[in-house]
Amino acid sequence: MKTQPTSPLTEATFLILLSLSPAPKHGYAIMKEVKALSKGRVVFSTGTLYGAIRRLLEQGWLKRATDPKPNPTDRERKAYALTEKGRRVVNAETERLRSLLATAEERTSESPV
Amino acid sequence: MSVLARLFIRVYSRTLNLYPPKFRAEFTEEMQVVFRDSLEEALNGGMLVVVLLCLREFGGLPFNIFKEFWHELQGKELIMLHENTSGSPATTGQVVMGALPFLAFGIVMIMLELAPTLGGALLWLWLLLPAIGFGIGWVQGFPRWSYPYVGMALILAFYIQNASTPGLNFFGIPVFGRELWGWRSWVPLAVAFVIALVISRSLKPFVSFFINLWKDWSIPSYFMAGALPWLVSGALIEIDRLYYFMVTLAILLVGMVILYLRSQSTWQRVLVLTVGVIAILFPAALGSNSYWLAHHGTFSTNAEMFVQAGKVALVMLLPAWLELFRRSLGRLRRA
Repeated sequence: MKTQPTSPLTEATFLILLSLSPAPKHGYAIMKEVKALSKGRVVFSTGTLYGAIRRLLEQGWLKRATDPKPNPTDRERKAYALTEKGRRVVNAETERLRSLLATAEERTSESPV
Repeated sequence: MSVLARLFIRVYSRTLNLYPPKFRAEFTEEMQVVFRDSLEEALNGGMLVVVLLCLREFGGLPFNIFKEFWHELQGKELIMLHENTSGSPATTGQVVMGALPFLAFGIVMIMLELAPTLGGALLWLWLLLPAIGFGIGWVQGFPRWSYPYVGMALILAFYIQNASTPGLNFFGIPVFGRELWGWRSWVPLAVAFVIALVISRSLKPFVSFFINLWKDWSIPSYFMAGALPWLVSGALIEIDRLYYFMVTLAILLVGMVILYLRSQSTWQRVLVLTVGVIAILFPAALGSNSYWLAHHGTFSTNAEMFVQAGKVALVMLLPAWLELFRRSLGRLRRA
C-alpha cells in the first residue's frame, strides 16, 4: 500500500528518514549520515535533531530500536528505526520527487520556440 | 579531554534544563551523549571546528527550546479541545478554575463590608478576573469551566460602558469620577484577547467556543450563570448587613459550579443548574424586594418580583432544558 504524505516533506525530515532507511541508527550516526547525504549542506545541531526525532516518533514514522553497531564506549545510545508507516512515507516522497524531476527534465529539454 | 571541553559539556548539560520537562525526561540524556561525541570529533579537527560546533549548538538553543515549549502548548491545546467535546467530568484544576470567580465574588463582597479599603483593592482584581479567565480559556480552547468567565466579562463590559462609577477609587485615586466608562470598559477584554491570540496564534478557539455551545446546550445556560454574581450584587448591594446574604449566595454559587463541572451526565448538569439558579435568583430578588417593601414600601410587590425572577431564570435555564429534551428525543429515535 502506498502512503502519500499530506504535504511535501521538509528536506530535514526527508534526510532523517532516508538516513534510517537501510538500518536503525543512534542520534550521532543520524547526524553524520544526514551531513553525508546532503554533501555537507545540512548539518543539524543536537537540539534540532532531537526536536525532529520527537515529532517523527509522535507521527509514528520512527520507533526506538536496538543499536545494531557495537558500542565502543560505555555511553548508552538509543537507536531509532523506520516504522512501516515511515518507510511508506519515504517511498511515496521519493516517488513524488522522481516524478517532479522527470517533469522538470522533460520541460527543460524542450527547445524554446 | 581538555578542561575547555569539560566546561563546554557541563555548560551544555546545564542549558538542557531549559527544555520543557517532558522533552527533558525523554531526550536530554541522549543529547548529552551526542554533544559529547560531536565535541570529541571536533577537537580532532582543531579549534575552529570546535568554535563552529559551539556556535551551532548554543546559537540554535533558544529557538529549539522555544519550539519545544510551543509544541507542548499546541499538544495540550489539542488534548483540551478533544476533552471539551467529551462529557467527562472536569479535573480538580478545572473545577478550581471554574469556582474561582464565584468564590472570589463572595470574598470581595464580604471584605467590602468588613474592611472597605482591602475590599476595594480586591474588587479591582475581581473585575479583571473575567478577562483573565477569558484569555486562559481562549488559549486552552474554551474548556467548559471557562464559559462563565466569558459571560461575566461581556456583561461587565456592556454594563460599565454606559455607567459612571463615582466613588470607585483605585488605591485612593478616583477613577473617571462621573464620566461614563464608554469604550474603556472593553480594554481588559481586548488586552486579554490580544495576549491570548499572540500565545495561541490561532482563531480556532473562537470556532471551538461556538462548537462547544452547540454540542451541549447546558453550556449556554452555564455561560449565562456568569451573570448571577452581578444580578445578586445588583439586588443586594444597598442592603445593610449585606454580607450575610452574600456568604450564603456565594456558597450556593460555588457549590453549583463544582457540582456542574463534576457531573457525569446531561441530566445531572441540567438538574444542578436548575436547582442552583432557582436557589440563588429567587431568594436574592424576593429578599431584596421584601427589604425595600418593609423599609420604604415603594417597590414592586413580591408577586411581581417573583414573575421577574422567573423570567430571568427561564432565559438562563431554557437552553439546558432544551438539551435534555434533545437528548431524550435522540434516545427515543435510536430506540
